[in-house]
Amino acid sequence: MWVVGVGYRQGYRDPMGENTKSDILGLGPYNINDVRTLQTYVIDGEIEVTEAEKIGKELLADGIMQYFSFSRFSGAGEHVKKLAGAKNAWVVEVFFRPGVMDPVGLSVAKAIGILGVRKVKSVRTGTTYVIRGELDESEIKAICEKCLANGLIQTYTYRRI
Amino acid sequence: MEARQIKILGRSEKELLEISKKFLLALNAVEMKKLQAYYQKLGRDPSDIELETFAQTWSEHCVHKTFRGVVEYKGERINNMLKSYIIKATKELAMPWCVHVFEDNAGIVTFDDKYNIAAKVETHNHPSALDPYGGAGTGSGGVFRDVMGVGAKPILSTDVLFFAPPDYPAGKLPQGVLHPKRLMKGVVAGIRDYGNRMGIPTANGGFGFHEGYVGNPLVYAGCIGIIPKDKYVHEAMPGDKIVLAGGRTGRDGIHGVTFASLELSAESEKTSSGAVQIGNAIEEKRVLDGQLKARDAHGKPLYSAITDCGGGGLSSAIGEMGKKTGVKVWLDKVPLKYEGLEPWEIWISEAQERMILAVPEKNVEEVLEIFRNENTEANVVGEFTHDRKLTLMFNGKSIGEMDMEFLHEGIPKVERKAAFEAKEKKDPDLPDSQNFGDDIKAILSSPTVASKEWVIRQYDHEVQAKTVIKPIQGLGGPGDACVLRPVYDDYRGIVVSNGYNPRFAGDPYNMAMSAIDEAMRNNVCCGGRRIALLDNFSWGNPEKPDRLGALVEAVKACHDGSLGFRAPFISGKDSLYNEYSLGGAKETISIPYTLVVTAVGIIPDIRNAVTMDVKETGNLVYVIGETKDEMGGSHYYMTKHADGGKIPGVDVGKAKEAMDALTNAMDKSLVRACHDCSEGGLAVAAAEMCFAGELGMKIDLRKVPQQKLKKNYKLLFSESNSRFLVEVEKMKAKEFEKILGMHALKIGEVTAAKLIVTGLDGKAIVNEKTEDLKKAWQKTFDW
Repeated sequence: MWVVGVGYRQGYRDPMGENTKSDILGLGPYNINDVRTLQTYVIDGEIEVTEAEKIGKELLADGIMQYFSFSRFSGAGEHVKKLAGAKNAWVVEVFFRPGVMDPVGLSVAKAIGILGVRKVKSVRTGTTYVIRGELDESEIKAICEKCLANGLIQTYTYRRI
Repeated sequence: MEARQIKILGRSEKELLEISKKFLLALNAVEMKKLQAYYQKLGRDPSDIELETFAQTWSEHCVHKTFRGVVEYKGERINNMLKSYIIKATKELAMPWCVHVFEDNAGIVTFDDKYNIAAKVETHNHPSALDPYGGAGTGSGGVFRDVMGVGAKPILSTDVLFFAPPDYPAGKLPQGVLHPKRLMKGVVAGIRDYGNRMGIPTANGGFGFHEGYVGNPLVYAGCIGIIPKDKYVHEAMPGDKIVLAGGRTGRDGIHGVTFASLELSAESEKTSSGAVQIGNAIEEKRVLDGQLKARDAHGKPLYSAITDCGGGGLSSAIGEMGKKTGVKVWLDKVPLKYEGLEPWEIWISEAQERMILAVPEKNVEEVLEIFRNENTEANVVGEFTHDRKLTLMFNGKSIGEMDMEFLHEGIPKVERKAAFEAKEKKDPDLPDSQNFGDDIKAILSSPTVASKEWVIRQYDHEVQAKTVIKPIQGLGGPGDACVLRPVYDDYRGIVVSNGYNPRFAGDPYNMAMSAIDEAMRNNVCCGGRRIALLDNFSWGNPEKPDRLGALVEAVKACHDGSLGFRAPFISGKDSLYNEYSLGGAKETISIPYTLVVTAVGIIPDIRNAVTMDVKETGNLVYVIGETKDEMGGSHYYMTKHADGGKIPGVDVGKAKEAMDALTNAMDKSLVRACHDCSEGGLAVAAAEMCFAGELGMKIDLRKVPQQKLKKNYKLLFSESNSRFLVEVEKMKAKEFEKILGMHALKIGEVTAAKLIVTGLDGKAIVNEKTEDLKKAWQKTFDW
């Protein structure tokens, strides 16, 4: 399993992050500085490093405004550490529950095949939020439930980095 | 996998109800007993799949038990409200341009001598309450498929959405309910992604905000399509194969239909997770392309009937299609997303993006090839027979067999009692003021009226390049209707508009009349005529007499309004049981009774279409229609936290006459701008016209035709129906007046940069810069 994260480069706006920040502040006066987002793709299949790189570069990230990073999937939040450059942040990952349709994932899986990379069984998509600010655990939990994830169709994990 | 027998023979009523509850069938005691009697005669118990089939086919969603049932109301016995009122009016009008109404997935009317228009509006309320993004997206996908289900090509998506106000205090939210702002963002994103990805313009719609929607947001998704006249087929023949095209089947949306017949509670989240689906617009686009090729490959479509899989999945689609013939279905031939589905799950799954085609055997290979070329799956999953039986097979074994007749006609009619008394609330008669500038701004900023640019800019309303009059008109103002030019070599156009006002719900008859009037006048504003209407009710629990009584009142209004305006209803839908219990209370609260009327009109030449922005200083401003003391449900009282007053009624005869005259004047190019008066009345309509044109207006309330009103605020803000503000060039004034006669009176003229209103005592009571009004209008949804 590989995980590819795609986010906006420093200096470029992250509209979804800004939007999320305003939504969080709409919930209450939380002490947050900023929110950055990463589109996250968990790729299930035996692929090579070069292939993972190719997928990130040619398919998932816009080379001008976005960066991508990939690593073997070792659990929630792990891959974000080095690329977000964030310290003192909460990392929240939101994925669909098993069984919920993930049309973007299906399309990505198809596109990976067209790129010439075989052996990919499935792709699940999710969103990673990097939230910087002074928040305690109960606050981040409330934010996850009220704003970032719909418990009915999504699961979330959070960790501090 | 084997089908289970469910023991219902010899069970008591209580036990039967427990079975219904255990399997989430949503069948009531009378229905369960009818089934029991049916199987008693057969001398066997039903299998699980048979019971599920009945539950789906007999669900409120599929047969409209309430509308087709018997209602006792004020000493009257109404047998089938739909037939006795709404369809009756359509039949009486007998318009030659109504081609197929109230029979297929969508209503069909003629467009010109080559094409027909298909129109459909549906609700997707419950799923959107649970997962706004997925719920609204699949709502759009579903209504597009309804239009595809008559063989037409979707050319317009229209959506009307109702939420609690976006600034609703989070602390007051009932448990398990998503905040309205989050709901709205999710719903808009769902509609955006589905429409934009499929390449269908979302160029029309509306919003309503009311605290009463806090537990039950309403999502109305509509679609207009176009089909060549000779391409409509709807007769499956014995021997035809059943082809299932599109997406694979999973556990998506199982019990979505029966779930729609239950009230929501905080528990809904847990018991109904299967009811939530996420759409795949790209898949639906592939299916659409495939079916259009199958339709147009030769002179005649390669299929003999087509329908979509919507509520109830295969069970409803195939069951309905084979009603007159009989069908045999091989459920093991249905391609699955994953292993492990029970046959009954395959049968009722509401997996999205699937169409059913009845294909004569000689065409099967060609049809399958067409879909393969579009990169989507198509498989033969059964055949039409002539035994008038529904036979379900799995791995060569029969696992269910039902009589089509009993399945479709056997449902016991519900008999319900209705009671409704309109309670007229006394008008609070507020003190008048000297300056109404801030009041106008307050209404302009209220969520229902405020600019929806934030939403509109997310929707692609240009794709397909047919949109002539767009949602934002002039230099930024709210349009009344959208005008499409569906065929490039013709100037003929389609005009689509909506009408609704949940603040009038206290008087359901006049609420419905007002909705019809608003839909009509919005359509007329842009140049529409020969209007067909669609009704969509969202209501509370019809088992409660007051809710049902209110529904009867609204349905009666539909009949009267339809006849009066000579505008037939061609299709409709209802979503009942929109109730929610607060804090575990036993009494549930109904949403404000909501009727959305969608009007589909024709304009012979789109070059004569009119927009609402004022065009030129020096032009004259006319008002059409009388302003009455009808402040009930008004936005002015809402912003003043006042209650009471008369809910606006409609004088249909007069309204129809005025609208016809206005249309006539438009055809003679006498009208530069036209806007209707709705929320916020005359004052807000004038303000919107001003800032849309970035000009001003000077009007005199003393000249406004009215009924003994002595207060300025009532003249400014009364929401009386059937009124328009019209801009006319001076040199055309005479001709305009001649055509409109008594209906129009001159009240002022177009000026630069300011809205100035002279009050009843001759003093200026509004003196506002246009740009300030616009700012007030724009700030609310500056998200």
